[in-house]
Amino acid sequence: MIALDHPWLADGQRVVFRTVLEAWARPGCVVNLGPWTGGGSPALTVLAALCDAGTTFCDLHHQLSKGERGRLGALAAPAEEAAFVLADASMDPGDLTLARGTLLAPEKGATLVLANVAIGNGSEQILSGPGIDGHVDLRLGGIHPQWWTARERWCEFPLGVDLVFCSGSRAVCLPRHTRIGA
Amino acid sequence: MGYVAMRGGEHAIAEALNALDLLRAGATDPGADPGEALTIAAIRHQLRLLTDRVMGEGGLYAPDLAALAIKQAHGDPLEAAFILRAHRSNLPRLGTSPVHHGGELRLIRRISAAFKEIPGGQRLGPGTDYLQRLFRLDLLNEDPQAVRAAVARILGDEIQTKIPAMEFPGVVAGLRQEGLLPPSRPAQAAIDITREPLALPVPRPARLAHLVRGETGGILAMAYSTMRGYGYLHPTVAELRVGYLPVRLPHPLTGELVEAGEMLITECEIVATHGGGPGKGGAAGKEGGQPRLLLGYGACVGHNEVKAIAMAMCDRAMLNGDERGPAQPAEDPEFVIALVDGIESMGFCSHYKLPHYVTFQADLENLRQAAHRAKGAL
Amino acid sequence: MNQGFGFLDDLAVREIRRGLLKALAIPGYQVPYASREMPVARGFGTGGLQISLAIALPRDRLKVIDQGADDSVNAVALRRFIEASCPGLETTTRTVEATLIQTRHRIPEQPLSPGQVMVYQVPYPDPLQIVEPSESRRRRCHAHGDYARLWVRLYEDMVRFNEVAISNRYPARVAGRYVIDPSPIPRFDVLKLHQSPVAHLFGAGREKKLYAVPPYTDVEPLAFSDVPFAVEPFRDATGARRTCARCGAADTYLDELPQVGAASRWQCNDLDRCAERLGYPGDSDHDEHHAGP
Repeated sequence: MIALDHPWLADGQRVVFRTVLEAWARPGCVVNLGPWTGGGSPALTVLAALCDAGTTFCDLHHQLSKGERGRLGALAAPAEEAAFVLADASMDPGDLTLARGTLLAPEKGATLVLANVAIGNGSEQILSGPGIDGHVDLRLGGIHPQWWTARERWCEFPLGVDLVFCSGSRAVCLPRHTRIGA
Repeated sequence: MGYVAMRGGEHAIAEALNALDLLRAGATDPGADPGEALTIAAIRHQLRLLTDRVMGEGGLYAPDLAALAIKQAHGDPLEAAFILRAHRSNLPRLGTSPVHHGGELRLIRRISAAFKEIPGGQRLGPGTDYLQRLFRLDLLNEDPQAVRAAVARILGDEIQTKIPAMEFPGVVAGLRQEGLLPPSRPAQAAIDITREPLALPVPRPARLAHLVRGETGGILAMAYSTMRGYGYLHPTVAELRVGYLPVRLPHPLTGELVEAGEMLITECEIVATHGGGPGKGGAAGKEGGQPRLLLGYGACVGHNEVKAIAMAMCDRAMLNGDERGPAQPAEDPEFVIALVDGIESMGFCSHYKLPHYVTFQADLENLRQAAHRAKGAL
Repeated sequence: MNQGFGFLDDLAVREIRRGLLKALAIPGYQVPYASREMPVARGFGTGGLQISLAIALPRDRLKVIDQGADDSVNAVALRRFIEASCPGLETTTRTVEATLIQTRHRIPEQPLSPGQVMVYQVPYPDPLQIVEPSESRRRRCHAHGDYARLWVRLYEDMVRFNEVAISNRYPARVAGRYVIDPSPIPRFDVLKLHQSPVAHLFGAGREKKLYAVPPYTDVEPLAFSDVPFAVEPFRDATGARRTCARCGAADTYLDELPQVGAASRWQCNDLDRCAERLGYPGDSDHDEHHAGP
């Protein structure tokens, strides 16, 4: 059942945030957003828990309706400045520039939400770093390989872009500090 | 709801509240009538300057709520301002007003120390400056009839509740026209310091906003430091205004500006000769090759002249610091704004009353170990 | 007045959410935030309180401790406030049952487990404050990973006292980059942050900063290679480890209770750990707590 209002309910946003917090603190850990996507877009559900007029947003591949963007309330910004960027994982990012933060304000590095990811499919990647006990294996499919190249270009700790992959009602996070590869 | 039995704390907190209520009612004073309550109106009017201070530091223009906070806080201004601020912190933002100007004030008081006469006229209004600070024993046991009679005598027949708006050219505008003051700076967008993290270096709108909510005594101390040799600022009060500011807000439906109410404010502009100081020429500031006077601006909620003047001096001192690097404490915005917030400093000072026995034990262990080692070394 | 779950208004909550994510993405970095005034005085835990209120769920079981005790006045006041602001949320004094633990000055003795979140009340978020008063200069030091002055301070301590004279708020490097002030926990607790299974979220309300140590992250107290970091020894004159007078534990952080005309009495600081070891004597309320409404 599609319950269009679900991503916008304050109680649901609390649960969604706590779930994302858990995923974010444990990179590679796949979490379920439960019923709060309302059967709709998990990316929108995550963004609704985080965005309002106090932040900026770029809908890179026009995945949200005008009404949804309005309801998020975040100020529209070009991709290279936005705090939150929503993109379609299957699209080639090319030489896309996103905010990486600065040494004085690394928190200004963007959060990139990639939608239409096949979590659990694709080739195995070994993740390690803060939040991970040793290492963890993650399979992500449907992602244009250029996103990985772009991530390498963006992330030079403490600068970087933090990634949230969404699929169905599931999400997995890759903060800038997570190392990919053995 | 889950319940957990607590051994001491729960009971102690309840008893503390009881003890406070007993003291407020004067229950320990045989001469007091516990039923005799201060009315909110009495606090608002008879303690009007305290109410104004509390509104200013609390960051909310709400005279009745400020009066209630004063009553609830047993008259402690910081505690009262804190109650108001905590309430304010969760109020929704319904709209943002455009920039208002001092020229829109309906004045009850306006003085300039810079000129004997000013366009629009000096207006002494309600002020205590020229009163002798002697007790008025007639207030000891005020007779309501006598007070009413006095009010009638002062007002005469014409009970005038409307204060006429006064269009006047400001003193500063005249100086600016003459080129003795630099031209107005382009207006910087206001910063809501309660909603945005502090940016460093602190932009002037944020500084002024912090000072507006600052504690009068704290701002005064900062300003006084510049008068006592920690900086060299010799200000002249170009204009001090007290009056009611009509507040315009965009109508929620039409977006057109409508007057939503008014608030009493105090506004001060000082002009200063720039901080050369003794031995440095003492000349006025030079901008564009021409020596000029420099401006400092202060404004605060309610009637609080010391705060407005001191704020204007702090503003000027920090601007001086911007130009040549802060050489004195009051010229360093980071120093000033961190220290003038009474509610934060009060809270942190009070927190030392909380138990600290874990850290103290850690200190003791550290010291004993050091002593032990020192003994061993001998 | 906001009557929604968690007291804070939506804008404040979302700002804290965004801040916490960035804090976890940049372990140890202090993220500035607006920090609302709370009905609790600055210095009494408004930073931790704002985090707890922003992340709490009705399904949480909350534990609040101050100095290792659940029943100290400030812990009671904060717990009552969170409980009243978060309908449905249960409270507990038992560390192992808690899902959300707000603390001042201690990390519980029992091992933490995934599924729990630690929230710290922080008076001074910046370890550089002991060597540099200006925040803008401190921010530049952090930006460049320049902790030279902190090292100099530690070295001076070594020269003067033969040891680092910092007993609590001991600076520690997180994930090899930023140095944090771990809040006024004793040295005894600093090591618990290293490769911990839970996320540690730090809130400094007055100083308006959020920072975090993710789970399974390296946290190393700053120390010289030839003088290893040492925790509070709790040894008596003979050199024997002191034990708790109540439960007999010889591996816990202890409170010293001075006695008139006698030697001090020592007992566990973490009351829940002590009670657990004693089998929770006289704790008849505990089952009621499970029953709920």
